[in-house]
Amino acid sequence: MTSEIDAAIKAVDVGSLVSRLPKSPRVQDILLEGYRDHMGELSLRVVVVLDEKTKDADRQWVKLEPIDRIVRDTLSEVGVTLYPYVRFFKRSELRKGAVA
Amino acid sequence: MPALYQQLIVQARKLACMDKRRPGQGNLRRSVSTAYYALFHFLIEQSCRQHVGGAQADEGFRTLMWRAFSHGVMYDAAKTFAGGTLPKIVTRSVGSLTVHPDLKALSQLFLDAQDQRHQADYDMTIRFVRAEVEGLIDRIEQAFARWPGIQNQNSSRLFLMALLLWKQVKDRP
Repeated sequence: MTSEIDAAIKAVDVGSLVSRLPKSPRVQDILLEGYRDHMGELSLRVVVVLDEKTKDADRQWVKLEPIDRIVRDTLSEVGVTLYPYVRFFKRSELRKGAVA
Repeated sequence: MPALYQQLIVQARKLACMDKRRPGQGNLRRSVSTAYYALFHFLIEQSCRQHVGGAQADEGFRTLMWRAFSHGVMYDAAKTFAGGTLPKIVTRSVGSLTVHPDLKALSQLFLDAQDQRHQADYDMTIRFVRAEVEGLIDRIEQAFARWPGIQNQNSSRLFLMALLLWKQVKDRP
């Protein structure tokens, strides 16, 4: 989308980030892409890909918040200034169109 | 009777849970939109109470002030507080302020909820997932519960002011 997006994506070591996340609910991957938010502002979309076996009870915010916090803190630490819209989905939900 | 924001968050939860097995997209979309409006009205209520008072006698003033808030200005204010760095005009006027982590999280929540509300109301290409919608509702309920712990902080008082006045203030030299 822009060099700012490319730089933000390059700055994040996804493997290292995933390895520092809590073990439960298990995170398989983190996907980053450029995104124009509802106000037309250049942003970052961060999709935290949850293990397919994750139960709904483990998707309560109290369980996801520590992951969200680490992801946002990491982006900030590596110098990403774009606002990150962080979402949590399973791959099967992404295939069915959970994000545009 | 519960406050409007309380009624709305209860309604959002009911909509998300209404269908026993396969949740209808209509119910999930309305749930997201209603959850956002619960947060929107919560913040406006807190701001109005701070600025004109919470007494019964002040209700007319609160109702009038209510009309002055806009989604766009609230978005701009939330974006600044979500980043944690306040512009110079703020530090020059009120001194150095640290945005409390719970206020930062609340600002992030407002941006996220507003973006999802926009998708729920206007983007028909997206398929909403009940577990994620319920996660958004959890998050908003948690923000309501945490608010009393931060509402008297100076950064929170400034945030409530910014929700109304950010457009006029933020870019002033």
